[in-house]
Order: sequence, then C-alpha cells, then structure tokens
Amino acid sequence: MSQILKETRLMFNWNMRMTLRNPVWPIFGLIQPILYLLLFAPLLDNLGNGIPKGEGLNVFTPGLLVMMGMFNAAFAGIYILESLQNGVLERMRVTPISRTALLLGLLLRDVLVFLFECAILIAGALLLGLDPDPFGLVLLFAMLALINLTIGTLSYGLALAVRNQDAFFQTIQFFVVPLQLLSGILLPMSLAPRILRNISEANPFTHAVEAGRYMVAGNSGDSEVFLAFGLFIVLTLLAFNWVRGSLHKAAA
Amino acid sequence: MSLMIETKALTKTFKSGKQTVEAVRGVELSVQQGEIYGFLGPNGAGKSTTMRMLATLLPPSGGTARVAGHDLGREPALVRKNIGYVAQAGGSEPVMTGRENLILQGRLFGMDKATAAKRAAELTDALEMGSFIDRTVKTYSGGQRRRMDLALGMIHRPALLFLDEPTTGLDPQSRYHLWDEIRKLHAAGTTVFLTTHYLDEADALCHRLAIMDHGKIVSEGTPASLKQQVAGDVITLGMSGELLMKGETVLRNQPFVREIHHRDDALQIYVERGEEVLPNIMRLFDSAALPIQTVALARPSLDDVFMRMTGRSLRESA
Ligand SMILES: Nc1ncnc2c1ncn2[C@@H]1O[C@H](COP(=O)(O)OP(=O)(O)O)[C@@H](O)[C@H]1O
Ligand SMILES: [Mg+2]
Repeated sequence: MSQILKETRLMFNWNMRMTLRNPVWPIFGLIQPILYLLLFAPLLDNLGNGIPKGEGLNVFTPGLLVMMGMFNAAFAGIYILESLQNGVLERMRVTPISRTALLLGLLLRDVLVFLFECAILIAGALLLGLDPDPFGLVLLFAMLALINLTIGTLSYGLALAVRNQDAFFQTIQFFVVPLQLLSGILLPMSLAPRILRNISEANPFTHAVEAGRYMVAGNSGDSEVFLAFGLFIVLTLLAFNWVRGSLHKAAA
Repeated sequence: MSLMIETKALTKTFKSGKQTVEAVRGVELSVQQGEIYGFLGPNGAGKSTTMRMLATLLPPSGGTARVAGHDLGREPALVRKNIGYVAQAGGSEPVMTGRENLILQGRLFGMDKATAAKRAAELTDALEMGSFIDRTVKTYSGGQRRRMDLALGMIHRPALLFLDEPTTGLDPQSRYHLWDEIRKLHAAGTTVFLTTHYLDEADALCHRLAIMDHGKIVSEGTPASLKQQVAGDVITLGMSGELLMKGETVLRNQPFVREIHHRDDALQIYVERGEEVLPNIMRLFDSAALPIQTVALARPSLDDVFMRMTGRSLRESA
C-alpha cells in the first residue's frame, strides 16, 4: 500500500512538472468559462422568471463550474492517445510500477489543476457579486473534484478502448453535448418543457448542478446534495476499476 | 541459468470483429545467456508481437515461455525486473529532457533520487549523450533519440535487453554508432534480443538468428551456418572455352563438389566450404596442366537463405 502511495506521488510530481512546463491546456480551459461569466453575469438579473432577483450568480456559477469540470476532464484522454503513439505508455508498462499509481498520478494532477481553475473562476464570480455560503463552497469544491475525477477516468478509459483520435472525439461529442444541455447547467431546468425536465432527471449532472446550487445557497443538508455525492462516488469507483483493468491488458 | 529465453509453441491470435490474425504461430526458440540473438523477417512477420509477449506486454494465446529465469505466465513481475525493453516507437516523454526521463525511469525501478541521478549520469557518459541530455527529447535527432531509448532500457542494468527494430529509419552513420553501443552492452554481459528487417544488421550484429515469416520461424542458426546450409559457396573459374570439358572431368569425382555448371568461358562449382576447397581445386588444375585465368569465390547472403525458405526476397517484402 505504501508502495502504491510512493509511486503515485512520483507520477503525480512528474505529471505536474509536465503541466507547469507547458500550461497551455489549463489556461485554454479557463478562457471559455471566464467569457461565459463576463457575458452572462450582466444578463442574469433581468431574467426574473424562476430566479429570485439578485441571486443570478449563485444559480449560474455552480452550473458553470460543473460544465468546466466536465469539459476539461473529457479531453484528458488525449494524453493517453499520445502516449500510445510515442511508446511512453508501453515503456512504463514494462516497469514494475503499479497500474493504479500510473492512473492516480494522472488523475490527481488533473483534479488539482482543475480545482485551481475553479478557484480563479470563483474569485472572478465573487468580484461580480457571487454570495455563497462558506461551508457550502468548500463542499462544492469536493463535489467538483469528484465530477472531474469521474469524467477524467472515463476519458482515459475511452482513449485506451478506442486508441484512435477520430473515434475518441466523436464519442465525447456524442455524450458530452447532450449531457450538458440536459443538465440545466447554465439555467435551471425548471425553465424547460416538462418532457425535457423528465429526461434530465436521469442525468447525474442535473443532480450535481442542483446540488451545487443548494450548497451555494447554504442548504447543504438537502437530499439532492447527498444524492449527487453518492452518484459520483459510485461512478468514480466503477470507472476507475474499468480503466485499471484495461491498463493491465494490451497497449497499442 | 544459461538459457535466457526459452519458448514452447508460443502463439498469438488477434481477433478484431470477425477477422482473426494469426500473428505468431508456434514459435520455439532458445536464447543463451550472453548472446546477441536476432529475429529477421519482413514487416508483419510477427517479430514485434513475439517480443511484446516475451516482454510481458501481451498475453500469449497459447504456449509457454521462460524469460530471464522466470515463468512468463506465472511471474510477470519478476520477468519485468530482469528485462529492459525498447519499443520501435521508443518511449521517452518528448516534452521533458533526456536526463529527467532517465531519472524517472530509474525511480520507476525503485531507485531513490540520488541513485537514479547517478545512474543517469553514468549512462549519459557511456552513450556519449552529454551534449544533448539536458534538452527536451523532442529536439533530438533520430540517432540521438535512439541512444536515449537505449539508455532508458538499460537504466536498471537488466540481464536481458529487448530491442525492437533498433536502427529502423536511421542514417548509416547513426546505425553504425548504435551497433557499436549494442556490442558494448553485450561485452558488458548483457544478453540482447533484437528484431530487424535489415539483412546487413542481422549479419553484422547477431551471433545467432531466427528467420521469421508469417508468424513462424523458418530457419535458425548462426549467420554463417544459415548461409551454408542453404546454397553453399560458388567458385567461378575463368578459363578458355575449349578447356571447360577437361576441367569438368578433373573435378567430377571429387567428393566436395555438389554441382558444376558451364558458362561461356567459366566453370561454376557449387561446394560446401569454398575457402577450404579452393586450394585443392587449384592444385588439381595445376597437376592437370589446365591454366586458370580468374578465380572468384561467392558467399550466399542471408537474402538467399530467405529466398530459399520462403520463395521471396526479403529486400522486396520488407
Ligand atoms: N494489436 C493488434 N491487433 C491486430 N492485429 C495485430 C496487432 N498487432 C499486430 N497485429 C498483426 O499481427 C501481424 C504481425 O505483426 P508484427 O508482430 O507487428 O510484425 P513485425 O513486427 O514482424 O513487423 C501483422 O499482420 C499485424 O497486422
Ligand atoms: Mg515490428
């Protein structure tokens, strides 16, 4: 066990060093959410319908963060595709390092970078008038980390399964866009027609976004919060097991 | 432990959808400790697949193997500790420097930071990489990168090193440089198992080799014995046309002669060991007072061997 921790730290440091040397992706991942924040925030107070006046940012920001967690993590698997190509993954697989450490070293780096991005975005939202419950904010960070972990793991798994750029991007597009649209990420699903609302009930991200809004509003004890945590803990574990298995099997 | 690799009926079948590819079909091979052993064969012969099975990267579909003293199926972790593997694609992280890559590799094998750094410096010296080791790998030339890959495979001083197509795509000078490095590793006691589709590489570098085609070993031996078992040597004696019949009479009953062919003004004699037989022939012709104008001794190439075994030329199929 302590061996796995040691190896995980080694790989985490290595991956972090690579990111810091060339932080193009993390910066790129921030641009879109920041633009959304700047462009949408002024509109929110005029919406009225469904959103209490003055609380627009409290409703909007959690969705924005969930969206960022989903999108940025969805493309994490690109690194695996590259590593299959240039032989890095195969080289590591003939060393004694544990597959769990290999995967955790990537995921923990991803989560840390993502939380840093979240902090920047929240700082921006605070300047624009976000007024969150402090405990809820801490809890929100934890949930965002879990979401990022789930999607990142699935993305690494997808890359290992399809081993091909085109199939990788097509699959992501197939899933991510509908999941995003049907989760009320930007605006509450209470504004949507009933049929869409029913479909979106089956979408874990709907619950994550709802839970995020409860947390920010200071209602962290709501059952929706427990549901969201439960869902994403289970999803993360399932995804992690799947990917660890495929790392054991063939490469390129 | 004098056998480094021993396989029994090793097979690999890939299934994708309805298609099945029998990439490796019952490979039996044994590699002695201290050899440079080569797999020679055209693209798609199953060389990489065999090597990747032996390096624990692919589970075999059938058969067994012992690698570096351990059973491949039961003790893959122990096999991994004792082997180094350099894939055709290399495997260094392009955005990091060579030294960083080496140190990480050392630490993946359980060295502490200081030991890994020391080992990285040793290899940098040994492989003469000092001038580029602190640049990012993506800036390296093909030859520099290949040396880097070799160093990665050697970091933990494995007893057995797998090299998949170590010189493919390199310019001649880098190739010869790399051959020297491989010979140095061998001189230091490493057993080397490599694949190649270059005839000259197999000939110059390998002590023994297996010729592979369509997933099977079609012939095995030292480069010299492979060539001998196939075609034998050809001695061509140039002499004036009217003496050819007499020349043939002199040779016809000699035990070492396999075949004799007439050319316009030359005799072609197929023999087992040309260099040993040639003085005999000269003496026979001398005592029969038959003047010889020119003498040529031709050795068969590995391509002749491949041609004999498969009916195709390796130069064309590679
Ligand atoms: N992962 C794979 N899936 C399906 N077929 C494969 C795979 N890897 C190799 N093959 C097939 O197996 C055969 C042998 O390939 P390989 O071992 O790479 O040959 P070589 O290294 O001698 O060029 C080829 O026909 C190749 O297409
Ligand atoms: Mg190959």
